[in-house]
Amino acid sequence: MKPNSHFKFRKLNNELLVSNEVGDFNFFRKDVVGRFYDANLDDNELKDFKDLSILIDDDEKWKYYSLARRVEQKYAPTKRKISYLILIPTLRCNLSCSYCQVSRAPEKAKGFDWTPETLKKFDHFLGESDIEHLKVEFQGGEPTLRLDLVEDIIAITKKHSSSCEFVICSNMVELDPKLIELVETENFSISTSIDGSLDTMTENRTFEDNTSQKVFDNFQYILNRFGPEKIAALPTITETQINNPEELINTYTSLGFQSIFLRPVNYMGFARKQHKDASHAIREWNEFYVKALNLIKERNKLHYFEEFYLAMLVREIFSRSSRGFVDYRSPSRFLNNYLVIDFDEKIYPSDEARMLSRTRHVDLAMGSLEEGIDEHKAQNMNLWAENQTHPDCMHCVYQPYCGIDIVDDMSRYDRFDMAKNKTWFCNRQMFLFDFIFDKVQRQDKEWLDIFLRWISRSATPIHSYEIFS
Amino acid sequence: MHEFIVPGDYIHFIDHAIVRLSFLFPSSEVTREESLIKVKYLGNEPLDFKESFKEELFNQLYRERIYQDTLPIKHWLFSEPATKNET
Repeated sequence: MKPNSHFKFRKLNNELLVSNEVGDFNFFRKDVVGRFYDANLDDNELKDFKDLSILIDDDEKWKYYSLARRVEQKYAPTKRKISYLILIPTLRCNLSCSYCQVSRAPEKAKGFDWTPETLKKFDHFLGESDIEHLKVEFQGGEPTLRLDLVEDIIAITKKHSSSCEFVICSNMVELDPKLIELVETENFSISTSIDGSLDTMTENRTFEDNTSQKVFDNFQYILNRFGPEKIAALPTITETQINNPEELINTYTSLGFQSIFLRPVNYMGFARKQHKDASHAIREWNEFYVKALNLIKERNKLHYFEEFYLAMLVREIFSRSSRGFVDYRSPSRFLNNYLVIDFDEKIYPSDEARMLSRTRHVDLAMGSLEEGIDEHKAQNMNLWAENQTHPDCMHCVYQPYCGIDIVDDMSRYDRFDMAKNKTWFCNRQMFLFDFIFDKVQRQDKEWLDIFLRWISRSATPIHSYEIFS
Repeated sequence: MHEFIVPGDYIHFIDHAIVRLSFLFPSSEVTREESLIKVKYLGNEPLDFKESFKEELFNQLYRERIYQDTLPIKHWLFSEPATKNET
């Protein structure tokens, strides 16, 4: 017996997980592949392979069209339409975090800010770009050091897009009255870094408790005055927190968050030296992650609480929601809808690409405001940033739900053509997918209930377990 | 000197793989004779050289084959998007 369309499989617990081209899946007896090719399937198995369109009868040719249409919807090329911009109005910063990934410039340094000329070029760039809804993220450095530029950029952006929103990534050490005025405006919010308790913040970021306390006070002020829709926080997890997930989760729940992104420290920037072990230790990371997930499971008995990354994977698998997260897409299609403009007007495909270039690891700049996007370089990089034809990924049962991160590979290994199963990204992804499908295979109702909550983004979802079978 | 026999299905991809291997192992000399690949380490050979070279050799051969086999899919993924009338 020959399959009519490509399929992939992986042993999980005592069964075989099988997925088709577009991510429909089922569990089979573990010896099913051998029996498939020996034409020795029972009636139920035959029906299940037909339901997955892996076997297609002569009178069911429409299934080919159905599959093709779904492949097209999932992967078809799209025209460039900018919807997310990361801007670095200044590289200067008033902190010097241990894991800073962009080699930030000292607060008083000269020559690290956008100039009036840069603003003109930005205006022209937006005028030439195809834009619909646009989200602008101000990164740094510390962008609140140049709130005048932030205001100018907002005015320019609004000139070119009738639908836009802005988020400023601030360390919240200072709370400038001008920043509060901006927060009062529509579609403007703050994102900050909170790595855990005051002690952790001092160790990772501020190096003095008074400054850490100021960050917490400023955060609480914005939260109390404007509500949770105006401020979000992200942790960066180093060896300081990895043995104590409870402290981190407690900090986030006590601040009133319903979500946490358990984000490991990148192997970039200062972290390459300061947190070398933590940024390579995948086994320790996965152990930390499971402990944290068990705590999150307990929290969900009381109220809605999600881990951002796992929830994103769950939605991708079971509700086919689209992936916005640039490090987790395939094809990555760099510069198609998302790009970064640095303080020196250079354009990058992602913030991580900017980091690697800043540290002179590899030059991933792909044009500038002056010259526009370097299409040739972007296309060359894009050709390798997809898992659909990747020699390792194409045989992986999780490929339809997975992404690819060649920037991370370049950062860690100086190359992106090594066997995927040796990379941090692949090991992390496999671990997460195994975690999810283990719960599905076991029909672990406690976890399936949580997945349903995350899919519907509701504390009281409909218990429609059939989406997991 | 170490020798590796390349399976018949992969002979066509040897030359491409050698280019990459020569970059990955700059201290070695890689040559071919039909389906035979010979590698000589120039200097004091590290203990794990044979194993790591073999691993990379077969990985690069496999990558090259899959790359060429799947080029039509790659071309589609990165082609100009179709207009609405074409889809």
